[in-house]
Amino acid sequence: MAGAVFHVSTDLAGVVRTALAAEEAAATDGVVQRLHPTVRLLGIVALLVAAALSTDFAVLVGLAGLAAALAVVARLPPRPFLARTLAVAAFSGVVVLPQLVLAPGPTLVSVAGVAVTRPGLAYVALFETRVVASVALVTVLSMTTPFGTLVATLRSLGAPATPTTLFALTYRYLFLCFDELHRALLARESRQLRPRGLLDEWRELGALSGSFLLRTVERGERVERGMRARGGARPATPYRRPSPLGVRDALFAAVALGALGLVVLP
Amino acid sequence: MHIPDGFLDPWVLAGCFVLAAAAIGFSSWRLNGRLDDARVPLLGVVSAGIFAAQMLNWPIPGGTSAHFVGGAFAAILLGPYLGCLAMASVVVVQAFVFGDGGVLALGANLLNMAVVDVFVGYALFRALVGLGETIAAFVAGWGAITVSAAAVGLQAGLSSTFAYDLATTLTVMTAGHAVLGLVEGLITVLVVRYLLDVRPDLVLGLTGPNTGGDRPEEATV
Repeated sequence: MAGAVFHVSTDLAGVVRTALAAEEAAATDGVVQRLHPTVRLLGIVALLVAAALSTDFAVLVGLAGLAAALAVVARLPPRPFLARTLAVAAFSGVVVLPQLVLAPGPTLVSVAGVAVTRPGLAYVALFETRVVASVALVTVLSMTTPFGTLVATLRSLGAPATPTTLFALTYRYLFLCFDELHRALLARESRQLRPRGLLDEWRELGALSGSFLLRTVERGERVERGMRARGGARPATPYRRPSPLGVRDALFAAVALGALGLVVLP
Repeated sequence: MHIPDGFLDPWVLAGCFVLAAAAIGFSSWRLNGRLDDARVPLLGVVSAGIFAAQMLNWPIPGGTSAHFVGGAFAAILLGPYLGCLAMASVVVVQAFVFGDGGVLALGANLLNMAVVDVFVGYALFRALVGLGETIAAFVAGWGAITVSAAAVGLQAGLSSTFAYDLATTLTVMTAGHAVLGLVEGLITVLVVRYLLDVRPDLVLGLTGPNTGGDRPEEATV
């Protein structure tokens, strides 16, 4: 179990660090953070649609550059921004790299007897640029928008109260669950007297997962009873925060719609 | 399993979004208005618990480890409709907070992990529960993740953005996850068996599709 505790601790710490870094970045007084949340969300979605529709390498490079510029003016910490973006880019690179040699067409260069084709290189470059631009835009959105603000924005756009409240509560209880899982792992580890084989580890992890989820359900029941005791049955309106639209919002909307128009219009 | 933005064609993304929204909307409707604001917190806490349980590393031979997705488990624990909503909440938080999966690809990820995984898992569990809960839970976990992976393969194969043809994407995704699914099946068995031994009243998947009401006083939802 020691290995399991170490790995889970590392993973949990990484996830919590990611969430905290995003919350911290969202609290920074950057240009993107000062945009109206609805304009920010819809603008970035419009840019994502432009990236999804575009087959022009120059446009996709422009979108990736725009995402990088947004990250700079939002004063996002470069390390988590690049780590998130490049991790997905690396994964997608592994997936599409065989196309360098699989795509039929004239040979561009031969490496150790393997022919890299011109269409293959063009395809990989286009695909990777689209993925980098898209992931960078999503990272800008998630690192400049606290989850509570996102929930409020979804509500203001007409999303039903029940699912948005559910999303907000899942996020709210997430870190409590992480902490409880970590403590459960440490408690089990502290009671282990000798090394365990693979089967024993699986049996123990099964019992640990089961007891953890059981405690989660029981906690949920307590929360439910608490809500009922306080009256319950009120319409859920989480995190409503009015904020005025400004010139900055109009500029960003124009940029986003301009990029989308550039791709959609012939 | 999480599809990033940039992998799928816009029409595939739109189709997945419509299907996922329809399935999640249908699940909410089937709950018959009983998912009131007092019950939503319970589901939120359980969703957070499933998210946290996904973080556990299960050691497998060769020095590596696996995680579980938990769609079939959510269906067995909560029933298909609440399971669908719980997994949808997990997938949404993963996308917007942790960057797991894209924003435009959210519909596809919801369809694969909150709809296909949950409903296939539930259908398999209910179909086989007569043979015993252990067999039913294993096949539900294994089958659900394999069919979900096939759905990912189908979406990627239908997208011109993705250069590989449908036969390749379906084969790679389905065959790969048919093997990885064995781990998902085993984990599902272990966790479901524990809950059945300790609190069988919590395992709502045993009693047919739960619609959010008529539960024993101490049962979940």
